[in-house]
Amino acid sequence: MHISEGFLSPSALAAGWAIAGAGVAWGLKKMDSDRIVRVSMASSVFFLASLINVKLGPSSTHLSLIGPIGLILGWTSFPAIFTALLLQAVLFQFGGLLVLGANTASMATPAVLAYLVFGAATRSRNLRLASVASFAAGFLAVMTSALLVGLWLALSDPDMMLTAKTIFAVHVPLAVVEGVTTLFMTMFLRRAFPDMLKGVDRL
Amino acid sequence: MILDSVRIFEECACKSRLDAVDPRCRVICAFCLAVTIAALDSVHALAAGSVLPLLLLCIDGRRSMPRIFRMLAGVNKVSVLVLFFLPLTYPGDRVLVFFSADGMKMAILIIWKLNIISIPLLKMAASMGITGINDALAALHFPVKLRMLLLLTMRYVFLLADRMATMGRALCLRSPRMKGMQTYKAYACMVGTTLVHSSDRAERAALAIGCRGGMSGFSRPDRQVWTWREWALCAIFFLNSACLAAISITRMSL
Repeated sequence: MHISEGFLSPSALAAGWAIAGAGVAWGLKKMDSDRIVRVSMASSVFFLASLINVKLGPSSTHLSLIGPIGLILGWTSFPAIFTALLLQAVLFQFGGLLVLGANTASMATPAVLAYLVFGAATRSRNLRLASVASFAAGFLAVMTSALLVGLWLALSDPDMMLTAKTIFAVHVPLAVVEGVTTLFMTMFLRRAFPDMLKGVDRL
Repeated sequence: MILDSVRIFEECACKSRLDAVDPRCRVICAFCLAVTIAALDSVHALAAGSVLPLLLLCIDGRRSMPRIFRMLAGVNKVSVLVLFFLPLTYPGDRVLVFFSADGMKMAILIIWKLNIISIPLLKMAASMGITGINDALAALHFPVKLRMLLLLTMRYVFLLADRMATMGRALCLRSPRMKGMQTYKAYACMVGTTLVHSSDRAERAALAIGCRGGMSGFSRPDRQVWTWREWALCAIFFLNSACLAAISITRMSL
């Protein structure tokens, strides 16, 4: 999911930083000072999720938790994901510092969209609706993220269109796993701590 | 694994000749060089662009080489994928039925760029450590909330890593041969439990921070001094960027 250094043109890098900058600024504005600790905890969970390997057929993949983080944090997903990606770039060299803007935009935008589109439905009393919305939030968050990664590549070099399409197709199994995991996680949180699904700015 | 990497990183921070330089200058110079290299797309320009990163690599001599090469090895994990994947999907004349010659050239160019962009960023920005990066962000007037978030996230990574490891061990002991949906449900509940625990913990941590006087006393970065040395370093990096841009434009017009 991370774009590495060297792939993106300066115009794509600038667009990534512009979206990430606007999102982080808006997210920080929506985040009260007394909620920083809670957001940092969720950011740590997002950071650690990339280190959990889950079996997928003969291979394995790691969770991205874009959907659940979006449902829990709402608009504050932008600063939380920016921070987690900055730490991943510095500590493990995942992604990079120059592409941090594009990576934040391609992961935090789907997280916020998941919150805006499916947030209310996941809290619904209708269990079937909540289940479908939870799966869709996890599945579509990953697919939207893959779409944005492909978009950044195609924007940098139009000849990479087939590469972008392949990246999108490769993410389908991961998106299904993410959808199922989000569904189970939402059901767990509905029972254990329903307030968490209201978004951190409403807690 | 997480804690080891973090420990290595923290130990290696602040052991460079570059530590005498103002963090703002380090970040500005590193990003200036990285952006310029990202814009280059010819072999000649990239060859010229590699000079300064290679000089930076030699700054601390052998002392810093193993750490930087270890970091570059981490960066280059993606290179194998690029070398295989890009020639398969890139347009152009096919070599050995499947592989595109243009794709191969593009892959080599991207891996080259990846390395020479990473050297200044790792050497000048990432190697400052989290406290150094916090100082640089403070000096560059980044919002206090963002810096607090960075420091607290770093702090809670350790805490939650321990908790997740404990729960992972318990999960393996409870049901070592999980399959299909059972696995995903178990992992989802594990992450969910971590989130609930972290929320409880956050509540108490916020109260404790409040008792200590709130966020105001949390992080006071050192006062930075911008001297002729920083001006000189900026001048070298900007001049280098201007030369690279000139080479690139000249090659394009030929």
